[in-house]
Amino acid sequence: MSADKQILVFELDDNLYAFPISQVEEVIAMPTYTTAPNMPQYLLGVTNYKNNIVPIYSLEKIFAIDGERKCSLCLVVKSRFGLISYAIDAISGVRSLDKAVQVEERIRNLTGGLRIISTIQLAMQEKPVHILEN
Amino acid sequence: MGFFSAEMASMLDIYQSENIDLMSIYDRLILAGEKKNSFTKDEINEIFRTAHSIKGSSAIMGLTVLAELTHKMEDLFGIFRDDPNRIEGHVTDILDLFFSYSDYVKGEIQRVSDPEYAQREVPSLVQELDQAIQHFGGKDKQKTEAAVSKPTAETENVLVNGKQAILTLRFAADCAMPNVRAVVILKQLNRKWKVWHYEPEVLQGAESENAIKTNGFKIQVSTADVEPIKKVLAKNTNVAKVEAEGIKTTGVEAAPQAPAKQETAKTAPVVEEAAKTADKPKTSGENKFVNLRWSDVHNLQNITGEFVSEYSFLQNTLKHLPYSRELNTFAGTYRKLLDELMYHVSSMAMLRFSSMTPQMYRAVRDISKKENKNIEFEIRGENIEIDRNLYDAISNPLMHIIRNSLDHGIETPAERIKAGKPAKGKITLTLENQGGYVLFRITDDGKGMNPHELLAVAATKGILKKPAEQYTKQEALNLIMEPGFSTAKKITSISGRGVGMDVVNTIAVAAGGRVIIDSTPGQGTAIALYMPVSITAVDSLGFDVGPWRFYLPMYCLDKIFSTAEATTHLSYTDDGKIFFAYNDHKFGVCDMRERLKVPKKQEGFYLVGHSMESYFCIVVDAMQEQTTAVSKNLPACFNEQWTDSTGVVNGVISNDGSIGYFLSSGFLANWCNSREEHVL
Repeated sequence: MSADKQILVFELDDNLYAFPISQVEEVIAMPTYTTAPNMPQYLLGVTNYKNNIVPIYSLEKIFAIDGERKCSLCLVVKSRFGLISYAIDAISGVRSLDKAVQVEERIRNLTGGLRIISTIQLAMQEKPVHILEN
Repeated sequence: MGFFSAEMASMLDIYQSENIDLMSIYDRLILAGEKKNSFTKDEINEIFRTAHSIKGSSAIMGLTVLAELTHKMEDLFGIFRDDPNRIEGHVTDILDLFFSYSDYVKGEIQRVSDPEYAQREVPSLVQELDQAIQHFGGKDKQKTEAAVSKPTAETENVLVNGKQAILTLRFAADCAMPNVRAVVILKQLNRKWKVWHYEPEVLQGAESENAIKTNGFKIQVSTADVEPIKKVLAKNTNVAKVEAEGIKTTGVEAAPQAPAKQETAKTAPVVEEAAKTADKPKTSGENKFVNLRWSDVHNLQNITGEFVSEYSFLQNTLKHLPYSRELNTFAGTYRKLLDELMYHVSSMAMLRFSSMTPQMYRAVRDISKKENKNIEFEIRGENIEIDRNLYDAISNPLMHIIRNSLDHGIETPAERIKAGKPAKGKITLTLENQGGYVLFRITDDGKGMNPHELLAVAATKGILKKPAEQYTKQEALNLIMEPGFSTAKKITSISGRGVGMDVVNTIAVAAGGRVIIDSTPGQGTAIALYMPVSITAVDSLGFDVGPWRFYLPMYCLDKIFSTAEATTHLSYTDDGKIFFAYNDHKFGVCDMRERLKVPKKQEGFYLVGHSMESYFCIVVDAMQEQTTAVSKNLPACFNEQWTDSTGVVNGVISNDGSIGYFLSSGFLANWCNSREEHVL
């Protein structure tokens, strides 16, 4: 099973989302972070990740989910603009795309350069997974 | 798989960087030739060698089209080398050919890194080159073959001297294609020495490969003094050992950890490097250069930066420990070494500005031709060395300003004569070192800018920030740096692409620099860019505003005042603006807490500093320590608008691991300066 056929699935507000494994740098415990003046709405702040300044995006804010939850993990992802990290609750697991069925192909742009590139179903009677890209 | 094998692909970046350098030499020489409409013997030789190196490395990379084309260029210059009179007075006739060749080669060099790369055929260029060879060459062009040739009559005098030596070259065991490398070595040696004989004689096919692997590669050279030859050979990383017959064997070991797979073509430009510094004695320069990958230097810079942060951390920790003489001595020594390291690392990253100039001359030439303008372009002080980061940041802004001068500044020859000026316009780029700054000044003797016209245009675009009659001349000129401002009545092929003056300004300010515009209608325009020399690690002062930690470089700070001390310096205008008087200057006060929208919990401190000649005063919550701050790029989500609103250009990782923000003195000075100047 090759790396580009795998995704890292996580849950957020009863929905499943995923990044291709090839894009994921690391999953770390939520680090201490610093806010910034006038920073974009979707940012929690910035953190020192291996001597680089990496932003922490709040998926709750990006998906406009009400209520503040304490995220315990941080998903560090490679992007066109360098490393970006996302605050998340928990990882559901690494899944294979081998038997995945595409549910929806439409690309939906979200804030902060994030977008859903497709929505798939990994197996029968499972919740659809939104594949993210940034 | 792409065009290149995995082994070749790993050499691509070296191939690119070397050949970009070679092409910039080529461009410079062609432009020099254009000026006098002839080439000196040295210039011809250098172009010939340049073409030769490009051909060699391109052939090794399997870029046959490029190699063959360059081979023809080499032939052409071989003709000129034999008889420089043939090109005398004809450079301009075939200038387009020289440039088309240059464009093609540079294009290919750029394109090779494209994963989908495929060679691009250029039959018309080949044909043109053939015609030129035909035209200039006449009958005796066969002499120009510089490839490995059997000894000719010329070597006779060598035999008379009777000095010769036989060298046996052993290649590293894992060296691929030793026969190809042997060919390259022969070419290298042939430039300086006569290779009288070599074994195996045929350097093609597996047979020769095996022969070299078992017996080594033997060459008989026309000198008894083999040391200089060994030196050249030692640069071939895949030559493991050189034995000289008849002389006491002193094996020249290859660089210890150099992998055998390294680019063979690399050897050619190294020799070229010695040729580049032709004004110095060639022998002394040969061993003094190594080629470095920029990314390696950059990493070294980064690691040095980390060291500096670690040192600050150490210093911080020491303060909280009971005093220890040993530890403090250790910290002192550490600091000294660190300073030295920082000095050397930053000097490693210095580049001579002159390596950028050929493309500028070339661009000016092309544009003035297209625009039917007659222009003399001059660069002064091009030998100044600047930091590679600055070099990268400055090239586009400079080109844009020069293009503006060409396009909007300099009039057509007819207009110039009418205005009583010489038909030929002049653009000058001057570089000067000024303390921690480098000044780039672009002056032209064109039509200049009329502040009233600028104001009128700005009014129609709705970008005036106050009534036009309240603008000073300087403010009116600065309007050209406003986003959305352009006085061009038409979008020409030149302006309207690339960066605008607003972007030039943003780039300069983001790097801690400034743009200063001066112009006199009818006489011309001068645009000065002040840029700090080094951008990475600087002694800085930390201070807090709201929950955030900020930094400013020490060199731009003048004095810190408590609120009580500041009162005598402050004055208030009727419309509620606050001014600070200091050293016979009066400038605005920017309360950072208002700017960043945080409550003023404390009285605060007044920080007075400057950016070039302009002062600024900011009010902050609390002072922190002086430290060596290493700037780190902020994530891309902190864009230009964000920089505009906060004045922050970079991030800093503080001693405690939290993130701080580097302010730009340029931004602060802009905020605080509405100069007391007579209104237009």
